[in-house]
Amino acid sequence: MWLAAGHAGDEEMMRATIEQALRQGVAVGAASGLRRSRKFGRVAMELSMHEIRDSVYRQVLALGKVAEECGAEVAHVKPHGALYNRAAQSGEIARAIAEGVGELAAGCGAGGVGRVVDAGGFSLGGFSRGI
Amino acid sequence: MRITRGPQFDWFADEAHRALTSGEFAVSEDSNRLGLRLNGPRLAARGNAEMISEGTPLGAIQVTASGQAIVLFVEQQTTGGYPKIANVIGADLHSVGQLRPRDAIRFEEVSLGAARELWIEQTEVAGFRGAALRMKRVDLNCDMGELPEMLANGSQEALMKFVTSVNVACGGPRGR
Repeated sequence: MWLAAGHAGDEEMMRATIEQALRQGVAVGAASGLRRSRKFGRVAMELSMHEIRDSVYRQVLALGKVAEECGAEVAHVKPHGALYNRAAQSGEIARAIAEGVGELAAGCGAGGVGRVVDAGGFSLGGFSRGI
Repeated sequence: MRITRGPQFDWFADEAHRALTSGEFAVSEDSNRLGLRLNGPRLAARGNAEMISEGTPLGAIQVTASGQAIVLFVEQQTTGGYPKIANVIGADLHSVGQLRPRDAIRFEEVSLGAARELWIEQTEVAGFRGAALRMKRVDLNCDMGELPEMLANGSQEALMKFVTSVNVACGGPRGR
């Protein structure tokens, strides 16, 4: 396990990336993946629905905090790597992701997260495109 | 046929610009659903600049090295290396489909804003307004914040000039 600064998903990288996005006028979203590994989210790991929901919630919350400090807004959430691929096949996983995001949006009011980039499974999970 | 300026409009000489909107073109017999070859004034480029192939939209008027104009149509190729002097506006594409060999056509330039208004007007008449408005925007999106070296050498920020939204890695260290 490495915790050094300047790696994918740590606060320093998030902050620098958000600052660049603000300068370039592009929307900021959260790439929320499975727990970090050296292959960063590209390895399919066995996680319970609860863990997925909780992991998405915590990751988006972490990005949201940094975004708020930078004066940016989290406009969307895109499941990353293996999580995205699995959400495309499983309505259950897609639902867990959407619930993780929903929990956060409920906690931070209407100005929170805009939408979840469609990953196929969202329609399987009973959601319309672009939640 | 109304047109807007194409991405390589400036590559062409003033005479070509004039000829495009004042001359008369005839649909060649060598035309099909991929494209309509036009006989008429030769549209000369300014220099010998060569372009890298890029995406070609429906109705693009591309010009071959010999100066012949081709209007790309419904079974067009997706990319092309000929410069595009203009593009037939969306609201007039249906009339391209009505053209037959030896038909004569003239082009009239309109602004992009006017072309958009005409398109919306036409879709309103056809009852597709909602669809037209939904189609108006494409979100080009890229994963970011994964590689410290791309952050440090400026390539990440440079890439942002080509997208409209980014997905910032927020995996965070395990257990956080």
